[in-house]
Amino acid sequence: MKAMILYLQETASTKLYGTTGSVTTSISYVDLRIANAIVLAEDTNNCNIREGVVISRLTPQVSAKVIQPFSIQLFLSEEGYMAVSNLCNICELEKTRGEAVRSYLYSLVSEFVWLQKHEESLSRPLQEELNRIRTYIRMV
Amino acid sequence: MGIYVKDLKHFATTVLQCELENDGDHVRYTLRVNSKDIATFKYSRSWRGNFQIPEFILHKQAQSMHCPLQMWKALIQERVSKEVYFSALLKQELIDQVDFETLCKR
Repeated sequence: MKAMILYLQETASTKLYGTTGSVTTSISYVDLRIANAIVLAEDTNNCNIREGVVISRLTPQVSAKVIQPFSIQLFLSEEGYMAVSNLCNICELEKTRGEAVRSYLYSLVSEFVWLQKHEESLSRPLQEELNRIRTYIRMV
Repeated sequence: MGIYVKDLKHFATTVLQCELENDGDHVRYTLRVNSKDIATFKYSRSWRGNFQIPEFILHKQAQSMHCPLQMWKALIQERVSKEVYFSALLKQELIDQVDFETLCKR
């Protein structure tokens, strides 16, 4: 079982992920349910991750906030759904679309943490990847 | 012919001598030389040795390792030597001559 929790928070000016369409101030402690809502809110296999979303993991205890919207692309394969984005080269494979989005967000935070930790010794492409991720998420 | 997790694991640890880290839900391999992190890739810890890695994921790994997909697959299947890969990294100026020699001697 993944030792992580996904928190999604939105500002009062943005819509809640999901089908209600109502204005909501915040959502606390949500995991797969919200990942599924992100997927359900989209008609295509492009899932928009909105500004203000906070992704938290418990082990290690770190959180990252989305500071610029980005998309996660989902592809169906024989093995399940693959989630990728233009932010970096990670790819997550899961049984459902919601699980793939959730895993991708967790994995993105892990990647960010790892790259920051090794910043002094990164090769040029890895440094570029770190800089790119930094324009979309930041640690909180 | 498919590429399995056990093939990748063998190649990363024995041939490339990448450093292995348990990175949360993932297993991460990093090609490190002379205190520099040249390239890194990871895969889910839930993948067993006999899991056949989908082509798309191999493609993403190849991008992470800064080489074309065909070279990545040939490397894992040991149809291409590691020196060819290190030469490709040298050509892209991702490593210098000293790094290249250090890597080839491993």
